[in-house]
Parts: sequence; C-alpha cells; structure tokens
Amino acid sequence: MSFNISCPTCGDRQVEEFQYGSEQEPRPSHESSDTEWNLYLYSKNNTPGKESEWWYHQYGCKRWILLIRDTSSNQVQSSIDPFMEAN
Amino acid sequence: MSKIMRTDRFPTGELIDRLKPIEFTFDGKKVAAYEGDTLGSALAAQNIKVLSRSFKYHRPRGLMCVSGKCPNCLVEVNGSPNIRACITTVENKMNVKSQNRWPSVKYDVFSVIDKLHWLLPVGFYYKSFYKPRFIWNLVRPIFRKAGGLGRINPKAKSILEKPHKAVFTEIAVVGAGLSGLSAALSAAEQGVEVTLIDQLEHLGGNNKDLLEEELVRKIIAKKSITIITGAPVFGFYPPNLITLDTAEEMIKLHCEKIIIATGSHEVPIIFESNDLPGVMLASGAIKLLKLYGAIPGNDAVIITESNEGYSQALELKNYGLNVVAVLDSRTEIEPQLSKPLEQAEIPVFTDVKSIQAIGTDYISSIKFYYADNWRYLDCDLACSSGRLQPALQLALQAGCSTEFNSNLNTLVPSEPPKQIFLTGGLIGISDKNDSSNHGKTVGLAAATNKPDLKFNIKDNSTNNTKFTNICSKNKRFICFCEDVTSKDLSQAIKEGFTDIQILKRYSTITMGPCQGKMCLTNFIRESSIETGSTQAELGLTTLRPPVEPITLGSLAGPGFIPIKRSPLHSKHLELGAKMVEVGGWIRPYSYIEALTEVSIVRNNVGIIDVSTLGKLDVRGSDAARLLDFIYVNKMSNLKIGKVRYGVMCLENGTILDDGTVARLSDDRFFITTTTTNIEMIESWFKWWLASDTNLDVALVNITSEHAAINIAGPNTRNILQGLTTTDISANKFPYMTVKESFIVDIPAIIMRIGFVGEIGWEIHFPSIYAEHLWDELYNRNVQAFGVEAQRILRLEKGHVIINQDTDSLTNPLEIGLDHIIGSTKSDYVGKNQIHQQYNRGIKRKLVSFTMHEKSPTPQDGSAIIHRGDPIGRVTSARRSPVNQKPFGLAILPYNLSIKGQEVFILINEDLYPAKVSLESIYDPNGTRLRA
Ligand code: FES
Ligand SMILES: [Zn+2]
Repeated sequence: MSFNISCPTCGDRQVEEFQYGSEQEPRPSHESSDTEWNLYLYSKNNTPGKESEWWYHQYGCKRWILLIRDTSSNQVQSSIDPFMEAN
Repeated sequence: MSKIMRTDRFPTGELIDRLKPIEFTFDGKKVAAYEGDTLGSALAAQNIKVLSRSFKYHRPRGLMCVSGKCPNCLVEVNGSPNIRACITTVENKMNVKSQNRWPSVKYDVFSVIDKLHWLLPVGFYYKSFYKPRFIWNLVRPIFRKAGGLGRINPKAKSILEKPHKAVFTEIAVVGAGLSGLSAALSAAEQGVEVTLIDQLEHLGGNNKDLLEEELVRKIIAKKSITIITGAPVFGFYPPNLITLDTAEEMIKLHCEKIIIATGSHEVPIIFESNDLPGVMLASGAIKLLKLYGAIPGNDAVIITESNEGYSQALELKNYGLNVVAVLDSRTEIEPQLSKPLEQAEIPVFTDVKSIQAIGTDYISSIKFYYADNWRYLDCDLACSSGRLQPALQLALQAGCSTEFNSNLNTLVPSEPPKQIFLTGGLIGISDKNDSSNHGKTVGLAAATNKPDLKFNIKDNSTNNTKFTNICSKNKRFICFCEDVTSKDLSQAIKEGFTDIQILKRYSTITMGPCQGKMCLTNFIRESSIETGSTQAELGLTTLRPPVEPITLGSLAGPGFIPIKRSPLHSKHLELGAKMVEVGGWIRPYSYIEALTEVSIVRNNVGIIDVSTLGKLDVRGSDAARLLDFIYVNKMSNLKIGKVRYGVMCLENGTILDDGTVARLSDDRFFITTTTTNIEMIESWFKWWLASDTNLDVALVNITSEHAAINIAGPNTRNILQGLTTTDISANKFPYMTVKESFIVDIPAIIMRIGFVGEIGWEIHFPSIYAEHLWDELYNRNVQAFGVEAQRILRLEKGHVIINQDTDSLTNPLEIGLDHIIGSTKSDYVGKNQIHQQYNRGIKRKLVSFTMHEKSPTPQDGSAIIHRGDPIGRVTSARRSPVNQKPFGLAILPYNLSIKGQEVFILINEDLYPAKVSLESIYDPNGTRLRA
C-alpha cells in the first residue's frame, strides 16, 4: 500500500511519513453507559468507502490532520488541520 | 570421436579466474573450483550431475536453467537451506549439501515413491489415505519426512536483517537488457532523472553483445541515470512503488513512471522424462560454457520448435561440443536456417513427433519418432531450445491485462495503466533492432508524457506444433517444483477442474519454488490444448509478490530508524563505557562493573546520564486541565514547586506511559516520559489538543534540547551543595519537590526524586552545557554508573519499568497503583474501562519475588509454574548484590499474589522455588530516599 497525503502544512507527501490515528468519532462522555463505551472502543465501523480519519504527520510537521479517505481506493479527498479550521 | 577429459574447462569462461583455484565440499566430498565460479558451474565442470531430489517422486534432478529460475539446484549452503547453486558464487571452504534425500542424493530411499506414483495421483491429498482413517496416521510421518524442501536448522545463526530504505525517482526502468538500456538512455536524454535496475550483477542482460556494450558505456557516463544492479524487483505496490532486494538493503523505490523491460526467458519443452539430469535449457548450457568454461556434456542433441534452436546449435558447436542432431517439431524449415547446419555437419530432423530421454541417473540417449519410425541417438546432453516465457509478473501486478502473442505462442502483458510502460522481449519483441527502437520510443514517451506508441513489430511467429506423445509410460513434466506431469494435468481437467485458477490450486502447478517461472507458459498451453479453450480465454493465474524469492530477513528488517546519541556520548566513550542500544538510544551499559557501580551508589554517590528521558514543556491557562484529563492522577491540585509520579492510560484502561510531572508555575509544567515513548506521547498530547482546539495549551518536546543527569547516593548532598547556592538541605529541598536554579553557572530544573532508591536529584539543563556539568560532577570523585546498575538498583526498590514489567494489556490496578487514581475527577482518558475493570476485579498482579541463593537467576520472561501449569512470567530478575539471592518482579494470577506464596520458576528446563513478597527488598519504607 502506498499513496500520497497532502499535508496542509507540508504539501504532498508519501503515506509512509504519516501515522494512522483512528476513525474520527465523537468520544462518549463520562456519563455514557458501559455499553456505549464498549461499542466505541471495540466495534469499529471499518466500512469500505469514504471515511473521516485522524492522521499524524510523524516525519514532517508533527501535526494531526483530518482526512477524508476512500478506504477501498485510498483516494484522499480532503485533508484539513483542525487548528487552521478553527482560526 | 575424441573425448575431452571431463574435468577440463574450455578456454572460454569470462567470469572465472584460473589463477585462483579454490575448493568447497559437496556432501562431504571436496570439489575444485575457480574464483568466479558458481556452485553450479563448478559442479558441472566436475561432472557432478545430480544435485537434488524432486519434491514428490524423489527423482534425481540436475542443472536445468542455470539462471536461478527452476527448483532443480536447491542445496543447503553453510546450514542455510534452499540456496540456488547455479547463481551462488563459490567461496572457499563452503559447506554444501544436497537436499531432499536420504541417505544420499545418489541413493535415495524415497525414490521408490517414483514407482508408487499410482498411490499419489493429482490432488492425492484430497482423496487418498482417508479410509480407513488409521491409514493416514500411518503414512503421515513418512510423508512429513519425504516431503518439504530442505530443513531449517533451528540452531542456525539468525538471518541478516536488511534495513529498509525509501528512494524516489522520476522514471524507473526495470531490466537492463537491450530494450531497457535503450529506454533508460532515451528518457535520460530528455533531461529526466532515471533509475535503471537489474537483478544481474551487470548491465546488458543475458545476451550482452556489442550493441548492448555501447549503450552501457553511454549510460554509465550519464549522471542522471542511477544504476542499481544485483537487485531483483520482487513486488509492485499501488500506486507506483516497487521493492528491490539488494545484498545490503531492501529498497522501496517510489516512482513517477515505470518502464518494465523484464524480457523473456527460456522454459523447458515437454517430452518424456524431460527432467532427467543432462536435459537442460540450451541457454543454460551455453551460459555454463560461455561464462565459466564448464562443459555440460560432450554430445548434445538440440530439441526445438523455433528458429532459436538452429543458432543455439551452432553456438554450442562453436564452443567445441559435438552437436549430434537438431530435432525440430515443425514440418517446414526455411532453407537459410538449415544451410549453415549442413555446412557444420549437424543433421536436422524435422516433423519429429515424439521424444523421450533415456537414462537412469542421467541421460544416455534420446529416442524420437521420425518418418514413422523410432530412432535413437546417443548423447550426454539434451538441450531444450527456444520456447520462451515473458517475465510478466511485475507487469501484471502493475495492472496490465494480457493478450495472446503469436510470436511467442503465449500470453504477454498489454494495455498498461497510465504510468506504466512495457517494452522488449516481455511483449514478444525478439528482433534486436526492434528491441532497441521500441525501447527508445518508450523511453521518449515516458519522459515527455506523450505516450505515442505506434510501432510495428516484426511478426516472427513460427508454426508452433507440439511434440505429441506416442508412448505414454514415462512422465512428461510440466511443473518441476511440484512434480506435476501432463498426465496429472489432463486427469485434473477430466475431473472437471477447467478454470485456470482452480486448476492451479488442485494440481499445484506454478505453486512451487519457481512460482511459475518455468511452468506458467507450458501450463496455459497444455491446458488450452486439453480444454479446447484458447489461451486468451483461459487467462492467467494471479501472480502475487514476491516475484523473486527473498528471505524473511529482508521483510523483517528494521525501517530506517536512526540510533540516537546523548549529548554526553563522547564522555561515555572517553570513560571506556560498554555501550548498548536501549529504546532507540545508544547508552552506557556499565563503566566498570555493574555490581561495583551499584554498591558505590548505595554507599557513596554516583551519576548517570538520563538525557534520554522524554521531556515536554507544557504551558497555558488550560495546562492543568489537560494533564488532569490525560493522566489517571489528579494534577491540577499539584502545588507549585512539587513533583508527582504520574501514569497515563489509553482509553481502554491499559497503561501507556509513566513519568514525573513537575509544576513550575501556575500555568507551566515540566513532564518526563520514558525514554522509548516520547515520540508517541508527544503525538498523544497533540491529538487531544487537536480534538479540542479551544484549549489554551502550548506544548514543546524539549527532549534533545535538554540534557539530564541523575546524581544519587548517601553522599549526594555533600557533592551537590558545593556546586549550587540553592539550599538543598532536607527541609529546604525535600523529596518530590522541584526548583529552577543554577548548578555551577548553568540554568537547570532540579528535581528531588529517586528512581534508584537513594537520596538524589535529577538535573535537567540545556544540552550545550552537558559535558561541562558532567565534568564538574565527575571531577569530584563521583562514580558514573550505567543502565545495568540502574536496573538492579530500581529492581531492588521494586520500581516498575513500563513495557518491561508491563505489557500492552496491563492496567494500573494490576501494578498496584490504585492509590494514584484521581477518584475525584469527573473524567480522564481510560476512566470508564478502569472502573469496569475495578468492578469486575483484576485477574493478575505484579509482585516481587525472591529465590534461594543457590538457584540460578531467571531470565526476563521465564515462565512461572504452579501445580504443573504455566501461570505467569518473570518480567525482570537479577541477583541481589546485598544477599546474593535472585529476585525480581513477576506477573501472577491475583489469587496467588499473597505474601509468602510459593511458586516455581522454569530455568533451563528445571523448576526452582520462589517466594512472593509484596514489598521491595531494599528500604521498603523509603527512609533512605527521603533522607
Ligand atoms: S539450474 Fe539453478 S535454478 Fe535452474
Ligand atoms: Zn506536515
């Protein structure tokens, strides 16, 4: 597997420079039930198709970015830096 | 006819150095060789013809392809199994053994299987020996002994782990034969940067000639072409990554475009007993003569179905062999083909219907059907000539489809994806002019992004008739790796396996060590004849990586991870420290003797370089809030000037890391992490920050920016007080506090903590002063100690090392950290799961143990046995310098983690008793630490 990810800070880079984090999912709150927590932790969607994911530019700017990636074709549709979005 | 003495060499032999004789042993016997020889050429020159026994029938096998593509010459070299003799250069005193034979390759008991082949029909493992059931149990051990390839030696030294390297290029050209060379040069002439790769050690390919040599000269002169030879490309991975296995490293080559020019190679023609030693590919025989002067035989018969056979017959004759005859399956031959042979007095038989090789251990004659008669020719070499198979694995992995090529009478890759280009023998081009012109065009197209590939290739298609099979008693091998005959194939098809993918799995053709290199073309051709479908209709089997065999060491090798050095590295070397690699750093193991260092720290004072600790500077009005959330401890109530031991968990409640948290001001914290984990912890903190961008926190990893020295031992205060104006008396600088101050004249963060269990300080300060401060301390007669002494000291205190004494499933409750969990916090990472765990109760616990002084010291990881069952493991163990008893930490089931409980530790296959204790063996109340 090899594809490019466009880092909002560094530009187009090989996927090897990045580290996969996880699917982007809201974290349950401390008031959520054990079942909700167990589902959040242990049952990942992992569906083929578009997925919103966290990736970390380990060998670059060392920033987290949010990708929309098609998991069946590895097409990256968008990548944003949450801090840049916030400003 | 005059015979040449067999052990003589011909005057040819470009690669051998006759002035440098060397020798090796083959199955215990000495074999003479020259420097430059391969094992295969040296054995051939000594007339040793049987190199191995086949996989299923244990038939004798000898050199066939002489290019590392068939399974016939697999031998064991210096204990490593499955090495190809024909491509392995001889080194003096190599110890070579034949495989798959017992007791010897000459007299192999299992060769009786050859006679019992009716017991082992195609797909026998699906249908024989099932009823009655007990039969399988009887035959299984025999099959296990007879089957398989080579033997793994469990005591062998571990294989070389090759480092992985990532390289980028604009255009990669795979294959440096005529077409590849032309493509590389014409692309480079357009100003593009090119990488040219070949699996051979030289450029120019197997048919290197004047034309190729001239191109090679130009290519070497071109700066923009990088040349990598001796590097098989073993896989293609989307979108455009190819992997190369060189002698020293595994290269991942990222390419913008790839020109595939992997060419084609000869494969065997199918006739009866076509696996007898002495039956070779013509190209193999020529290679032995040309490169090594080794004589594969005196009297050669050429078996062919194409024009190639005629030129190869003449070539062999030129090398001095007696060419007995050319046997051609075709009916009509152009006169200009047969003329030169007439002049060379080589008889030609056309329209030959059937062929059989005769001989017991190697070939002695050829029997063939010609003009309605059986005829015999004596010979000691039969060359299968001119059947070609394109090396299409890489092209297919890259996404090409296939089409039928009448030149080769086989399928070749076609319709390459956008960034892939094909040229040369791979797509059926055989004419030299065509090859170089097509290569040039493709190189230009790739370099200029104008894929305009109008190109007419000369049609050399020959009327490929096949050798029929008149008498059928003897085996005609299609697949040499798995011993599959044409009869097996037709049987499988009769049983209904007509889909090529299923047929492959059922018959196991193409599934052996050659991975189809010798049998794919033949498999598809024969299947097409048997099923009546065209080759194009049948299609190909899937050709997955690795294209070339590679060792596990190539895959398992480390990624490119630079080893880090502390700013005090040269000091350690000056002091003659023994260095080790720990957690990505090179660190002092010991300076004198670890145990001596331990006792100096316990009785006087020592220093250790702890610059490798991860260090984070965390600031901002929300810093305390963030730490409260990430650590299981409460950190917001930490007073300014105080230090706290902290543990962080993953959301699933398992321990991620530990370290100290020092509060320097209301909104500023200084954090240390374990040596190995800092990169991961940095990203962990940043992830939580990215998830809540409203938090006012700034985070800087100052690991390499800051050095750190730990000074510890009862005399520490005397030494340190001499270097600082800060009052470090017990009242003014108590245990678990921090001050920002100066040591000598160096600004430092000084923490009173004690990993090793003695009074001590950890001094963090800018790296540029590292050597300066080290010298100041060292010159006051302070002993330097290394990581081994530190490990013993901390173990005596029962201090845990994360990832050594814990694993990826350990939660804080299991290592007795219940008390640090911030129970008043509404939320923190891992809270839910830790609470669930708490309610369920824990199943195992980390405990201390001690053993009798006479018992050996267990290794880290030794099994713990209770009532005959393995129930836990030792995580750390050493021999105590205090009482000479082995002691350490171990993970035990919760119900056995009781003070005084006896368990047994498995050491070198014997059991030794150990007693569980719940407190550390040194200074359990921490009075020394707090002094
Ligand atoms: S003869 Fe060595 S691999 Fe074929
Ligand atoms: Zn980046």
